[in-house]
Amino acid sequence: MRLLSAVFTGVIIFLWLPLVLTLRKGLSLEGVDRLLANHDLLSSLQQSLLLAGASAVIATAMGTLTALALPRLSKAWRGRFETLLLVPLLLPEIALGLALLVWFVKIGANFGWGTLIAGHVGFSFTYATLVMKANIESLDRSLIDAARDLGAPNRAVFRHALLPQLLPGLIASFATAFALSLDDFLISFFIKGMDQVTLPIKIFSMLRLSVGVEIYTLSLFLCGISILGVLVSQLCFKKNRSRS
Amino acid sequence: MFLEIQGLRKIFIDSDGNEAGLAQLDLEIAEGEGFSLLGPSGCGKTTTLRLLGGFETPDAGSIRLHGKDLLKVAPHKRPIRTVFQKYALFPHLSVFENIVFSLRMSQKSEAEIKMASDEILELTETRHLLKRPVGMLSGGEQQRVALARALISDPEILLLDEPLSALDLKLREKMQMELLRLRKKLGSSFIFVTHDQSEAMVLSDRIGIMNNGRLVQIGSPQEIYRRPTSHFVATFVGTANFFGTELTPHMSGNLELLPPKQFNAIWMLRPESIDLRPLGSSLRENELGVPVRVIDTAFMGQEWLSKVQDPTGATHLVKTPGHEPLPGQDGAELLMKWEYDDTWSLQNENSPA
Amino acid sequence: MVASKRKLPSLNTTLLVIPLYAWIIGFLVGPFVILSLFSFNTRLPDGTTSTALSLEAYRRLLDPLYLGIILRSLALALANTVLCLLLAFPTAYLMARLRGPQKALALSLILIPLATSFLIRIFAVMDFLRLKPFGLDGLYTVPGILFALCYNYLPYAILPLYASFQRQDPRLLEAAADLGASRRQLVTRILIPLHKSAIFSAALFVFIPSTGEYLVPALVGGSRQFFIGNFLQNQFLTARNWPLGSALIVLLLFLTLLGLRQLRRYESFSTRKGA
Repeated sequence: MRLLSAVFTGVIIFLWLPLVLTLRKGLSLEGVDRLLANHDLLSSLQQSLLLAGASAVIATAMGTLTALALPRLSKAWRGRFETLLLVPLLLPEIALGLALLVWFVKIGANFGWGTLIAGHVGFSFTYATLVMKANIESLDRSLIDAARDLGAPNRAVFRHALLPQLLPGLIASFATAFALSLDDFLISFFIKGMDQVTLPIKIFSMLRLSVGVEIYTLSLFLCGISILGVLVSQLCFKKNRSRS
Repeated sequence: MFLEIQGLRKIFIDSDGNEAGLAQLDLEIAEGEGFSLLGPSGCGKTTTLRLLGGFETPDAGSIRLHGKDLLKVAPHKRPIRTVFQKYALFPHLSVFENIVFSLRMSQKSEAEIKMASDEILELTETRHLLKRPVGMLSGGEQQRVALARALISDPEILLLDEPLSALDLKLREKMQMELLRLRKKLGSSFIFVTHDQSEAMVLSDRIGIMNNGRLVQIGSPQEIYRRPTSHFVATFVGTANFFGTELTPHMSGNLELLPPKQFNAIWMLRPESIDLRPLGSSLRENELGVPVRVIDTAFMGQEWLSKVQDPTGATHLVKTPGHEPLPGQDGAELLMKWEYDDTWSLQNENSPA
Repeated sequence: MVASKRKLPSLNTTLLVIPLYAWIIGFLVGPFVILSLFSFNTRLPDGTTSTALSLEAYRRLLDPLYLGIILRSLALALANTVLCLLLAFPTAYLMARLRGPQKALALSLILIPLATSFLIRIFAVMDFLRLKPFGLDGLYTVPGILFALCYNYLPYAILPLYASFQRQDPRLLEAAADLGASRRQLVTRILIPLHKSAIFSAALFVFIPSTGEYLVPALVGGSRQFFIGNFLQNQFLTARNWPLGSALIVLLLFLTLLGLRQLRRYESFSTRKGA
C-alpha cells in the first residue's frame, strides 16, 4: 500500500513538475501586458475559438444522429462501423494529417477554412458519437411513455422527456470536441490554407523562435479555464450521483 | 365503469429469440375494483399493462370500456393513466409542474389547473413537497407525486407497475393503506402488475395469475390461496405441501373422509394448516394424521418452521405459532395432523368464480 | 421485456446514417483509398511520379535504411508502452480505491494536464530536460524522447485502467486473499486476467500512436533522431516521394486495423464472460 502511494505521488509529481515550472513563467504582469498587445496572437486565439465552436457544433450534431442510428443497424454492421470509428483515435496523427492532405489535393479543394473545419469535424466526430452513444444508452424511456400518457404531443415529448436527458451528453460532446479542436496542431498544419493561423500554429512558431512570455500567460489562462471545466463537470457528476 | 377485455393478444420476439408476450387474455374488471395481474417475469403481465395503457397495439382482441372500443381511442385520450415502476418524474420540472403536466398538455386554464391541483394535493398529501426539487424526493415521496400526476385528470382506471417493489418494509405497509384509501375515495379501478404475491394479496380484491402469456386462475386472494387450480398457482402463491395416494396406507384417523378411489389425486396442504403433536395423540373425527420425523427447524419470530419427512420419504414444511414451544427437535418422531377440510385436491374441477 | 425502441416514430434510419456515411467516405475511405493508390506508384529519378502500378514503394521500405527507421520506431513505441503501463497500473489501482473527495481530486490531477495545450506540454518537458535533472543530459537523446513520450501518453494509459478497476468488485481481492493468495498472486492471477481487456486497450492506445508520433521526436530529438514521424514528414514535404510515404502510411493503417480487430475480440470475450 505504501509502495502504491509512492508510485502515485511520483506519477503526480512527474506529470505536474515540468508543467508548473514552465507555466509559472506566465505568471507576470509583463506577460499580461504583452498578451493584450500581441494582436497576432489574439487574432489566432479568436480564429481557433471560432473554428473550435463551429466544428464542435457540427461534430456534435453528426455524432448525435449517428448515436441514434447505430442501435437500429444490424449487429454485424454496427460492429464494423464502431471499429471504423476508432481508427482516427488509434492511427498516428501524422498519418491522418497527410492522408487528408493528399485527399484534399486530389479532389481539388481549396485549402482554407472549409478544409480546416472539415478536418476538425473529422477527428472530433468519433468522440462526439461515443459520448452521445453512452448518453443515449442510459436514457430512461419510461419518461417518454409518461409524457405520452399524459397527453404530450411529439414536440412536448421531446422537450420534457428527451431533451433534459440528452443535454448533459450534448454539453459533454461539445466540450470534448471544442477542446480537441483548440488543441490540434499537426492535422491543422497539413490541411489549412495560407491565411489560417490557428492558435497552436501560432504558439508553435513563437516557441520555436523563443519569443515572448505572453505565450505562457495565455497557456496559463487557458489551463485555468480547463481546470474550471473539469471541476464543474465533477460537480455535475456529484449532483447526478446524489439524485440516484 | 366496466372494463371488458376479449381475446387480447400481442406476441413479439425477445432478446434471446424466444416468443414472449400475451397469448390470449379474456378478463372483466368491475368499477372501483382493485385487481392484480400476478405472475413470474415473462408471463405477459407487463405486456397487458402496456396494451391497456396504449403504449402498444395488440395483434388481436378488443378492449372495451362501458361498451366502447378503447383501441379506437388515442392512448392519451383514454381515461386510463399509468404510474411507472421508477415513477418517471420529469427531473427538470418542479413537483407542481410534474403534477399538473397533463393539464398543461391539454391546455387547461390557470383556474382549472388551480382547482384540480388543490384537490389532488389534498388527496395525495403532497402539498408539503411542492417546494422540493424532484431529485431530492425519497422513494415514497416520488411515488406520491407520480400518483398525483396520474390521478389529477381523474382517470377511470389507474395502472400501476410494481408499485411497492422499490419501497422498504415500513413504507410498503404505509403505501398499501394509501393506495386503498385513494381507490375508495376516487372510485377508480386500480390495476396492479406485480411478481410479488404478498403485494398482490394485500392490494387487490381479485388476483389474476398469469403464466406463459395466459391467465391461469382468477379469484379473490383467499380463493387463490385456498383453492389453487394448478400446481403452478399452488406453489407460486405461498408455500404448498403435496401428497398423494401413496401416503394413504400410513394415515391414521377417520379414513372414511377420504373420497373413494381417487386415482392419482394430489392433495395440497398449506404449512400453517398442519399441526405437530406427539406420536399417539388422539385425532378428532375430522382429522387425519401421519407419523413424521423432524429434519430441520427454524424460528422466524411469528412462527416455527419445521421440515418433516413422512414414511414415503417426501418432505413437508410445517408452520406452528411462535409463541408455542417448538414441536420437536431434529430427529424427533411426531404425528403430523390436519383437518381434512383444509386439504385441497388439485384434481378438482371446481374452478372458483 | 422489450419495450418499443422507437422514440419518435417518424425518424428514418436511412436519414440518420447519412452523417456516418459521409464521414466514413470523406474522412476515411476517400483519403486512404487515394493514399493506397499512391502507394502503388513509383517515383522516378527526375522527380515525377509514374502511375504504373507496382510494389516498388513497399520493396523499398525493406531497405536497411528505411527498415531500420521502422524498427527503431516500433522499439521506441514498445518501450514507451511498457513504461506507461508499469506506471499506470499501480496509479490507476490506487485511484480506483480512493473514496469521495480524494478520488475526485486524484482524477482531476490526472485530467488537468490533459487540458493544457499539447504543445505547451512538449515544450515544458524540453525546458525540464534542459535543466539536466539528475545530472542527465536528456535533450536531443533517445532517452529524452522516451521520457517526453511517456510524459504525454501516461494519462491515456491511466484512464482506461482506472475505468476498469472502478468496475471491479473490491471483494474479489479480499476473497482471494482469504483463500491464501499472496500479494504477487493477487496481481498475476486475479488483477491482470480480470482486466485483460483494459490492459490491452491501454497498451494499444499508447503503442500505435507512439509508433507514428511526429512532434515529440522532432522537437525533443531535434534533427538528429529519425523515426517514422519525421520520416513521413520528410517524404511528403521535402523529398516529395509520395509513393514511399503512402506505402508506410498504408502499413500503419494495416497495423491499426489489426489492433482494432484484436481489441474487438478481447471486448466480445469479456462481455461473454459477463465482466
